[in-house]
Amino acid sequence: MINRYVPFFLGLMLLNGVTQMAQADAVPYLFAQIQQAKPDAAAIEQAKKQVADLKEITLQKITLVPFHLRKKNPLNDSEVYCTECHLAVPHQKKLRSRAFLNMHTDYVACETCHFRPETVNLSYGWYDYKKGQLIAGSAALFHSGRKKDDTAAVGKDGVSSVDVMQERDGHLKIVPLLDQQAVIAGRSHPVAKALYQEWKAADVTQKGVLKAKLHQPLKTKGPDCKACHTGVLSAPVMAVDAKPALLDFTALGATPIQKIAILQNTIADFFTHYQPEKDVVVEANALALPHPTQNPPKEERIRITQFLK
Amino acid sequence: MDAMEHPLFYQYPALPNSRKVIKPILFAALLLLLLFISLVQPSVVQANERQSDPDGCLVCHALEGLQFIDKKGVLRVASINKADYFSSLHGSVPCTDCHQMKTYPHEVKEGLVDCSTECHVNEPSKGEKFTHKPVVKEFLASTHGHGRVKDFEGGNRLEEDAEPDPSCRRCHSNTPYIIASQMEKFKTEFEHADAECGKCHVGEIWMNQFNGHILRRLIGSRWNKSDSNKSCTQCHGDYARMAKVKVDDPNADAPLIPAAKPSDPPSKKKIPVTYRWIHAAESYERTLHSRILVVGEEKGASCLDCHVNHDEHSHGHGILKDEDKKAATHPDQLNKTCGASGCHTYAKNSLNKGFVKTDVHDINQVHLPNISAILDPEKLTNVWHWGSMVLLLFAGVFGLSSVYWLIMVYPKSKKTANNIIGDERFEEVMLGRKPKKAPPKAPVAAPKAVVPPAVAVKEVLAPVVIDQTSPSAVKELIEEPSSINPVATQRPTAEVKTVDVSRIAKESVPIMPAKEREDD
Repeated sequence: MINRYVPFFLGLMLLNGVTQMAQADAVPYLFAQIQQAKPDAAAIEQAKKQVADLKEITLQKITLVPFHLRKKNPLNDSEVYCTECHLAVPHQKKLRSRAFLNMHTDYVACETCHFRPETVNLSYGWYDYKKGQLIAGSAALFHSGRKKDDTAAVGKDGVSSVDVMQERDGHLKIVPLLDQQAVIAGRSHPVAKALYQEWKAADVTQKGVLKAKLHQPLKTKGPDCKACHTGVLSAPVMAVDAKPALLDFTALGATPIQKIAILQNTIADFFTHYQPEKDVVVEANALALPHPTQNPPKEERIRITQFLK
Repeated sequence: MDAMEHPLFYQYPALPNSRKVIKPILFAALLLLLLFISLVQPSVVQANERQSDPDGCLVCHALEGLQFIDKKGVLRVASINKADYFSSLHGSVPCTDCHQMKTYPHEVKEGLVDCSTECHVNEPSKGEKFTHKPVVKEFLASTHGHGRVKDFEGGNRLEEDAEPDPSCRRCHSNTPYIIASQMEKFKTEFEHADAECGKCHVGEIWMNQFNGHILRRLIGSRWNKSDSNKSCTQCHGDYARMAKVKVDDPNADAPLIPAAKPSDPPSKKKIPVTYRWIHAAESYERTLHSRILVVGEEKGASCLDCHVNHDEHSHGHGILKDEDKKAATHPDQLNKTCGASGCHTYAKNSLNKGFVKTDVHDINQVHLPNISAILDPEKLTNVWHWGSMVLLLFAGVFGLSSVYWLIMVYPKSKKTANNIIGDERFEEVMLGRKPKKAPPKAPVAAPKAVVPPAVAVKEVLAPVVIDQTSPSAVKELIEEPSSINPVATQRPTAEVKTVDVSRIAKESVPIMPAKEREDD
């Protein structure tokens, strides 16, 4: 009986393997866009200048024990491609939102907010960077961690929030999809590695061109908070002209309660009452060490770049 | 579309017939209530919230992942571990008692904390607002407190890290009341108190007072002396850092430097500290005071035991420099300090002058950094070392001379055994004088014939009978010694001397002539 079906199963396995291989080798949409990118001359010039003016910050190590115990060991090495240069805490210039945006990098990939092409319609799903493949969404992935403590706290959905927190070390993130395929790739993807080799081998001029190409499909500024947190309390609950949220939380696995909690997030609501944010040019720091010329520098564009290994 | 269908027209459900539908409505209300309760989801927390977070700081600050890198490259983390905070020493203190935040984004100035501020927690015995002011006052007067720039405001950590004088935060952090290693013990004691004392002392109030106030402090107390030393060696164990310290010149005749403002008094010149000062932690480690603590016994002396005044008004933060008359380590105070309870109580008597002169920070115990330090009087102060160096010098001279003699002189000398031993030979060679005649002695019986042994005989002659009375025979004896006495070695051809034969024994045993010779 078994003998009859052996070739069938073998064929299935072969097909599975071939598909996987094909998937693995397939160039993700974002990288395809990067390869086809044609940045204009102004962008290339600017990129070259930025590469030349690069001012690197090395993280300072201090021995002072913090007064309060912090919640997380920061700077987990992320697999998201952008963190190769921009580190896992990339937002720095907007004082009001930088901490919150950096918090989002834990479960939202950089590309979700910064890669929004007008020409195609992207959907969103959960991606496991360790395995390099998409996973099904679930309610467990939506625990905020605010009620988390050291003892097991079993949530309403039967999943202990502690377990999820411990598991969430940044390898599960929401990524954009095109036709159910991830448009992005992790740092260990062959395409990403090839780009890295290209960067290493390039001189300053070529690096400028490559940098311009890398960033041409992307947007500098991500969407407003309201794009995802649409149902803020000040807005009508069932406004028919409200745009749907950027992320379809139900499709991502959130329970209705979780979805409402996200849509009507208090902190996002706070920010709607503020003026639009401006970039920080000079951070007025009362405790800064006295500047030799008594005048703080006018403009300082500081990029954080990890030493590329 | 009529008005009823417009999205902005919120349609209320029609009011039902009150008689028929009261039960379902009540049932629905009950369900909703249950739903509401389940939404609130009270979860088990490690420590119940001791204050209600009246300003809602934890709405944001309890979120995980709030971090950014500031311009100076320091990673700033704003996520607070809520459970840890509530079980810490400051768990009853709302955030705004210490941090006066008024705007968002929070200004740097607003985040500064003044530890001498009064908080809203009422200290139970006096009912007054609790404050760290007395400690702060003592600290300001101490050797660590003067020269502080920011007056107890914690600020940018990078600056604080590099500062020479410590802030409060340098040594103190907000630790849980019961640390993890003491938690089991606390639980056992708690249950025991609950079971035994709780038989009579029933009620929350008593249990809270006993457990909260007394047991927590009893069990929670976590400083052993070895740990408290670590907060000192954080800075004082960093010798490179200590080498940069400058202190007032203790010399009374040192010239004074006028201050920047004319109204201020002039200050003493600053001089760098001594090697002994820099390596005080290292020299302390060699003493028994430290070594007892290292193995876990509490009988040793920690830094604070000696350097802090232990009178009844002391808060433990008033470390003064040794030259200050009130300092615990000033020579005048040492009797009291060393004689503190539980330590060397006999030292309390001020007649014990010698004991308190013991140098507890003996720099001679510390390993020398390099060989040239031998000649540095700052690094090596013990007179025994200097004395032994002089002795070594002499030893070196004598040793070299011996070596020289061994190589250059001794090989050329005659390596004979009888160079030194052997009566008149000794006299001639070593003492360099003519051997004197031996005095007359009682007549001795005629010696038997000398039988020459078979070996080393040049001429085998017949046994010769020594004629006592014949000087010529004796002469012969002397002139040709080798034929008669083959054991005799080469003798220098000395002047022929007549010898009283009677004094020559059968065996050639050296005989020292006891008296003058007759012939001389």
